[in-house]
Amino acid sequence: MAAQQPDELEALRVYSTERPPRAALLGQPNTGKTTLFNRLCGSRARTANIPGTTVESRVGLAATTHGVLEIMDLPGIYGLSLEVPESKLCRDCLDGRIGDVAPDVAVIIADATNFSRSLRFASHALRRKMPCVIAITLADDARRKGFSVNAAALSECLGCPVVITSGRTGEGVDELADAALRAALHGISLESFEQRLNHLPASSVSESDLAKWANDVLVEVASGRLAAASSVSDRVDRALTHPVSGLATFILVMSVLFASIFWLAQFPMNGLDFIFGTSGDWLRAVMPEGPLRDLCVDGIIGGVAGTVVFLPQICLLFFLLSLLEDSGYLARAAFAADKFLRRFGLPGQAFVPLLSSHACALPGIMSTRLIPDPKDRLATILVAPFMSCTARLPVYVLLISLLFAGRPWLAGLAFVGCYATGAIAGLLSAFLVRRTLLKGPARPMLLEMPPYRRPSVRIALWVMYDRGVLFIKNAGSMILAICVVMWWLSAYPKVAPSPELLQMRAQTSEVALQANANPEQVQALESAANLLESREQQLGSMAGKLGLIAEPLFHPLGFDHQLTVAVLTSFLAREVFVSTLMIISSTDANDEASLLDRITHNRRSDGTLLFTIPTAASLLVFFTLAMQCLPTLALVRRETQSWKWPLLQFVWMSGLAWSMAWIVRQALLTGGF
Amino acid sequence: MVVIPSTLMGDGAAQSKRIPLTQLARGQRAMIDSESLTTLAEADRCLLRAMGIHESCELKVCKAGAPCIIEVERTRVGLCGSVASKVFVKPCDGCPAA
Ligand SMILES: Nc1nc2c(ncn2[C@@H]2O[C@H](COP(=O)(O)OP(=O)(O)OP(=O)(O)O)[C@@H](O)[C@H]2O)c(=O)[nH]1
Ligand SMILES: [Mg+2]
Repeated sequence: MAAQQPDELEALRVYSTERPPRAALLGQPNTGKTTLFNRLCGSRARTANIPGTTVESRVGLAATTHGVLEIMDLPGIYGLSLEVPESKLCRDCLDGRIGDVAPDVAVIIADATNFSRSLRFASHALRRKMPCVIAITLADDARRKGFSVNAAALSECLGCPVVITSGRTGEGVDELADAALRAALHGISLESFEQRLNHLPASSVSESDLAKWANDVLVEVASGRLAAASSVSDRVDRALTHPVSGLATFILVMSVLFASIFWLAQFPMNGLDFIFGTSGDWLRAVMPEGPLRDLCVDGIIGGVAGTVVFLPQICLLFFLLSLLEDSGYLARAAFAADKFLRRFGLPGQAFVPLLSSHACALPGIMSTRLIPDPKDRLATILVAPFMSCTARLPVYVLLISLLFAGRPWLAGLAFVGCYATGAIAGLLSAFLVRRTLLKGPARPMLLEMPPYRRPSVRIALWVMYDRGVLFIKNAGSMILAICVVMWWLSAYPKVAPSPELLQMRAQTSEVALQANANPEQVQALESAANLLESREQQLGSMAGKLGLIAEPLFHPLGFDHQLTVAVLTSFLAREVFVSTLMIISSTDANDEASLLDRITHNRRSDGTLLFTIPTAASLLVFFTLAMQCLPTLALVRRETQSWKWPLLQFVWMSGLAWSMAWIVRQALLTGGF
Repeated sequence: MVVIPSTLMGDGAAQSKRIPLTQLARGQRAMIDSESLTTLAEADRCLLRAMGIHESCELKVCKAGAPCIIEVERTRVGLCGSVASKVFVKPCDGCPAA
């Protein structure tokens, strides 16, 4: 490539527009575009060993020796002219219909480990009249397999600059940024474009002639030969996609995944619980009594603790899922799941979105973009929130330990049951919607199987870190705000003591003053009075009034006004349920008792236990199925471009949750529980 | 569709007869030619081509049956039964089964 003097470049840069030049990364799926983007821009966008990881365009800045370059990461595409959303997005981007300006240079990605196909892709992309640079990625991997490309020779063959890179090792990354900047600033003249076209096969050439051309180029510029995938990966593929051993592996992998989440995470969770407990006690001891102390201890620490203790489980789930995805296993699982999912009207490609929805529905719904058929995709989006996400975990843990205290086996089964209930409800809903609102033939599955790769622990750690930070940020902002508001709503307005309470207090002091007072009796009287006081406060507070208004709706499920308030707030975000319950029940007399004790012994106004088995079970079912997540609804609205679908989702899921919860409660009541 | 067992076919017949992908055995190689993909929907045909499964390429079967996995050059693609049964290929006798 023609070397330019730095001064000349400097001049070009000054005379170009003020904004930095923009380079778009264009290439086939799973060829290391995002890994390269991350290297170039020092960012940490999601990468994984499965085609279709990137679904949105993303812009970052890369520093080069001659100035700043804007880099745009794009979804992988098999061809620029295909009629699928990713290809359309790339075309829109190249034409400047996305992100206000068209890119100044295309960085065409060529995967060194699948070189001939990459060359064919490049031959199409190079036909666009814009400056181009070819980046050969995964060079380290190819070299290890005994294959290397001569950049100078390829540059000669294609008539554009070529840089050999590796996003993993960082090889050639700076050089690529320089070359792209140079090409962008230089622009493209008609002559040089025509010259480039002369290097390429004619646009009308048949597919087989194009393949021949690519092979000729390959022979000319490459040394070594990539052996076909090893027989080991053949055998592994066979086992993983076999109806019996594939299913067995899948069940094994998922059991290990979830078992390790529950078992391993308990250690850091106990630690966090301890830290929050001690700091709450400490604050209670050092702060003067009053509303500020209540706000800090009950509202802030109490509320946030209820959510943040689940951080370890969430981190671990994302870490393990990332490892699985990076190994190439999930693509096989999706392939094997196709036949099964088809029965419910979903494509095999829905497997990965549905699985990641078990961590959180938001990334799950985002990743449905890799589903080519619009109806398939919509159906997947609609049922993804049925999968038990990590925000439901706190509620599951609480209610299951309440229902099955001291019976770990049953508790474990109940957990599995919750996950299964969500998944089954999702599949059946998909079945229903594909036969009513979204009728139409299913698009058959064509799925590329990525090569097996050793998963990168570093990437998995970053995914875990990013997700953890997001969760904490969320807990520190929205959840904290909800907690404070809930605390305020339940603490104010202060209620004047009722005549019964005054009488009770008077009686207590009378008994205490007697010469032969029994201290136990005094204490019992006192705590009864405290309980009455807190109950009056709860009912008289704004939260209590709200609860009373909405109570009739949830009364058939066995929820009282307190529980109604907690359920209502959890429609903003599920994870606040435990926090809210903790706050609104914290005015009870026994402040030191653990949350579980406190909730277990929570009583209704008439003195009966709130959490009877039927009520707890109906609450559990309600939480498993209900649509209680504002961010998800907002995302569905964005992805479907209409309010119809999120509304339908909300009504259907919540209606189903209510009905199933009612049925379960009635069944248990009839069964004599 | 009528399938002629390969034992009944002469060498010449084996060269010209096409069979659906789903009937190839594991490890068997076959050629895709200009007529193999004509029965597919336009969108699927374009996608397969862009993935590297184009007319005049040789494939190897990694997992036989429906669904199946085939390998072309360095690309492995999983095809569901409904697509695989519509792709008619010419088994290569010259190519040794892996
Ligand atoms: N050994 C090696 N692996 C790499 C390199 N670049 C990427 N990978 C791996 O290849 C896989 C795909 O990388 P991504 O960066 O997600 O690929 P992509 O092109 O952005 O994929 P899509 O977003 O699906 O189009 C991941 O498992 C990466 O870890 C590299 O230079 N060397
Ligand atoms: Mg990507």
